[in-house]
Amino acid sequence: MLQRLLFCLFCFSLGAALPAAAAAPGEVFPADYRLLRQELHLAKENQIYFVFDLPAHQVSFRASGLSVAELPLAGWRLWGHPREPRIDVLVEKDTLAEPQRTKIRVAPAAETPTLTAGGDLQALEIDDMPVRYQLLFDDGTVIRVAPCARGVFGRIIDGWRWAAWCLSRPLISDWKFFRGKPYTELVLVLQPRDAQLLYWSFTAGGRSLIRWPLR
Amino acid sequence: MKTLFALVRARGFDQRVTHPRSAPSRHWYQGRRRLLPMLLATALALLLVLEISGWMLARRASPAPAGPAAKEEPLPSPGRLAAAAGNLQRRLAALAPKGVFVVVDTAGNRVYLRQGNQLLRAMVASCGSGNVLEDPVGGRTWTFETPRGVFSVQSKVNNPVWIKPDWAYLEEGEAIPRDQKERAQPGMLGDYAVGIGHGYFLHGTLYTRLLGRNVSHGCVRLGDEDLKALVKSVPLGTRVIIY
Repeated sequence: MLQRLLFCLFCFSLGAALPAAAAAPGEVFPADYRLLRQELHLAKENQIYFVFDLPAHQVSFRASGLSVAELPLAGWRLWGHPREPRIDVLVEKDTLAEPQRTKIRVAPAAETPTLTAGGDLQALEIDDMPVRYQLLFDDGTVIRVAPCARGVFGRIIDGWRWAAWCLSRPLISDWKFFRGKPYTELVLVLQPRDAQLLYWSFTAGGRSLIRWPLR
Repeated sequence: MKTLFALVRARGFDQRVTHPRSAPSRHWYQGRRRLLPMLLATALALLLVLEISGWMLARRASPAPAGPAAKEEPLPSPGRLAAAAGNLQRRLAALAPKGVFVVVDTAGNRVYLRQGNQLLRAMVASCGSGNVLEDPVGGRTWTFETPRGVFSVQSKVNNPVWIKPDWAYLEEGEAIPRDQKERAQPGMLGDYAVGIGHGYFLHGTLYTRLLGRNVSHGCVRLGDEDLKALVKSVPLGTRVIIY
């Protein structure tokens, strides 16, 4: 019995190590129209906004309708039901190891300055950003960002993570249902550097659009 | 739990226990022996029910809650939808910068001069360090971060003079001068400064070896040649997109 169970788990993790689900190509024209309308609204605000374009497999940073940076998605998967096109506002970024800002020590007037503009490199740089984190939006949607798995060992670990994710999401859906809230979670797999860049650029209060695939 | 283990051990898993038992006590032990598997089976069944219900809930369509979305307008009729979408795309394209514009990548410490999708020049820069400075006496706080968003070129200055702000004195442990004239620091900002509003500039630097790192106090520092090229290329009003 235990052997069978272990075999099933092994097969499950191997299956999970395969690339994440691909987006179904196709267009929902009314949904695209609504999304365009929302984007026009955002573009007029003269701010940076982010478009999670799942069918095109990319995240783009846009301003005034113009794409200024594009991050390719290595994969993605969805839990829950795609929402109607709307402007999502980032409420919080959640990660285990939040990057900390360095507090500059103010030297007394008589003391020789120890920190100068060019002399100290204790700064918050992109390498300090996490690669695995969650973006929590105002409508309850969660975007979980994960880095691409590298190597066989990494893929197996990722497979176990995926198994745990698949087993735990229904329980979260139940919990949210009892609290009267629907639950939608999107997992984006990005290159580590791109994941860090997204964490860096997408700050609380930032606006975004999600283009869902045809289901 | 301790009792359960004790019961299991006493009932037969521990072969050392070989006490003869009377018929009623044997039934009682047999009943308790089945308790653990039954509890496990019940827990698994409950988990299975929760998993299935969770999967079903996840596949159920849910309406989007109200948020700061654009006002909902009725969709055009299916026959006019394509034309209406094309119209929206044209309106969106009209918002994009027409001529040259500047893109600042604060994470990569790069400045790009672009025209449409064409890259005219890529430059190495130094953006904000993200550090925090607190004034222990006055209680003021500064965060040395390059602001993100869409700005425009508001001024271009040749041979700018840096008026050293309070935080620079605090950071260096110097007394803040009372006379404003003492704050003037010529040559610190390079040959040019391009103002983008709110006190932020794209300017030169003495610390060229630190280009490519996040070391500034919020302004964007550039090398001399790049700064010269930038100043020549961007007229007032040019859009500066910082992300």
